Amino acid sequence: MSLLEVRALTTGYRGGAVLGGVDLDVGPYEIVAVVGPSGSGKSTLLGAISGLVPVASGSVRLHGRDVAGLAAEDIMALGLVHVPERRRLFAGLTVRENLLLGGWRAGRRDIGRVLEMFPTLVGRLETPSGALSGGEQQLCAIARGLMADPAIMLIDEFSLGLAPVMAHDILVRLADIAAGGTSLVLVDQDAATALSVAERAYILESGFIVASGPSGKLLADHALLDRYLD
Amino acid sequence: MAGAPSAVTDLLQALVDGLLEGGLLALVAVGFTLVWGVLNEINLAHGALVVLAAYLTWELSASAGLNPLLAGLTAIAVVAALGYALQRGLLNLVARAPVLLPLLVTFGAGLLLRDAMVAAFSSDDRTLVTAYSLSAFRVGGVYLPVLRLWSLVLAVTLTTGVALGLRHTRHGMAIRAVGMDRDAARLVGIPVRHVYALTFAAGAALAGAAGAMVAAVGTFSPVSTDVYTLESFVIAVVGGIGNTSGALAGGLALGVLEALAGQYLPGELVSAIAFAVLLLALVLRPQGIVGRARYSARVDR
Repeated sequence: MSLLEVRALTTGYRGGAVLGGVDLDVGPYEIVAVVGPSGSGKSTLLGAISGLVPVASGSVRLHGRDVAGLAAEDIMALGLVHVPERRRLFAGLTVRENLLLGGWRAGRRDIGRVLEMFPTLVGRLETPSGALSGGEQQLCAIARGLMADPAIMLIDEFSLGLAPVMAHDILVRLADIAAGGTSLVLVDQDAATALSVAERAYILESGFIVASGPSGKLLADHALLDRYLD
Repeated sequence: MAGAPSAVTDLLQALVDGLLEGGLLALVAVGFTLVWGVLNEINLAHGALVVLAAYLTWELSASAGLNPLLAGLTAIAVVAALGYALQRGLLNLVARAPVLLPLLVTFGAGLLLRDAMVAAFSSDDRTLVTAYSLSAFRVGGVYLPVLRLWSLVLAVTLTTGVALGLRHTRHGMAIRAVGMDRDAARLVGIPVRHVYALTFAAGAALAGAAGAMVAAVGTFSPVSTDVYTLESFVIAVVGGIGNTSGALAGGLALGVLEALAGQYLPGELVSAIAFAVLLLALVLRPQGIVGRARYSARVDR
């Protein structure tokens, strides 16, 4: 059984459909990428799954339970964490406070486990998160998400604005996170980066899934990549 | 020459009166600025909550014979519960709307409360007389009323308590997070609707504490509601929106200015002091006198 099962998901802003009926599956320990050109609906898809964007129709099953229409905070409590585009850290709060907020719902206050995974943050714990570099902010956002010990994490535009070295460093850590038992859904405009770490991928175009399959197979299909990706 | 010491004493008395009155004003305003800073709601019903608590304290103490302290605590609890219900049942419905809509809702709620108080209690001025109402002591030639001194102590204690609570408690951290980025707070699992209501209830409880002190140290009537809302607005802007220690500083500053104006300016100008302070603050230091607004920053701005 899929950990996350999305079926015929539609949503839209003010009457205009953004997603036209999306199907998506994520299994345990799996990394799945959703790629597509700018404006294809990738961030809306993640928002609809996590409860930030209202769902018009369709279902979102997490652990077999339909969570479409639940509040984002309730979906999070069921084990789904969404790291949104541009990280959305609490800029006026320190790194430590951001991490503690990540464990707020579950009542977790031990930040030692995530600091072992992200040692860069150890020396920055008392720094306001708004003062971190882009790469550090991304690490902090992922670490904050992991504080909840989620079953699945949706990460939007994880490489946006990062130097290639930092993006690669984060990719390595993402693979470790999935191996540790948290499934990942990665959305990124840089398809090559996302596909390099994901086992399977979906290509989203104008709110519809136009192709899906193993990442290696999609990466080898140059005609497909040229047609749908920037 | 004989007038010189008297003039100094008058000035000192005005300063002390101003500080003591300022403490009460700060107590009135701290809940207002908390709600504005975190929820981005300008609560025009705030003054009505202050006066409602004053009436409840008066009724429970003077009519029902309850100890004034217990009466005040009960009034605080009732007003806090009302605040929670108002936010959870009504204001949450318009929380994402442009600021004008919550403003109108609180304006309506304030009018409703004020008219209900007129119907229930009449519009006569009231004062709660207790055994220690007239207690005072003198330092030099300066007269210090004990209850007003207690209201200043309460203002400092509650303002400090709110600041510490926001910084060091689990719910305080959640309130700060919600104030910074509502959607990000939802994504870390914070029940935003509950936290909104909790924040409004905390603001109402502070209004309740101010109301209980108003009942003990001054006169009040339903007409007072607008004055308390206006003064809260001025103090919130002067102190920095959402900044509780700024509210204390702003309250004390406004209290001293009004007392000095009362001492040295024609009576008709005194009531304009609050507006003058508001205009000056907006022109010279719109971020408030204590740094910048606490809840304005966000990573993606």
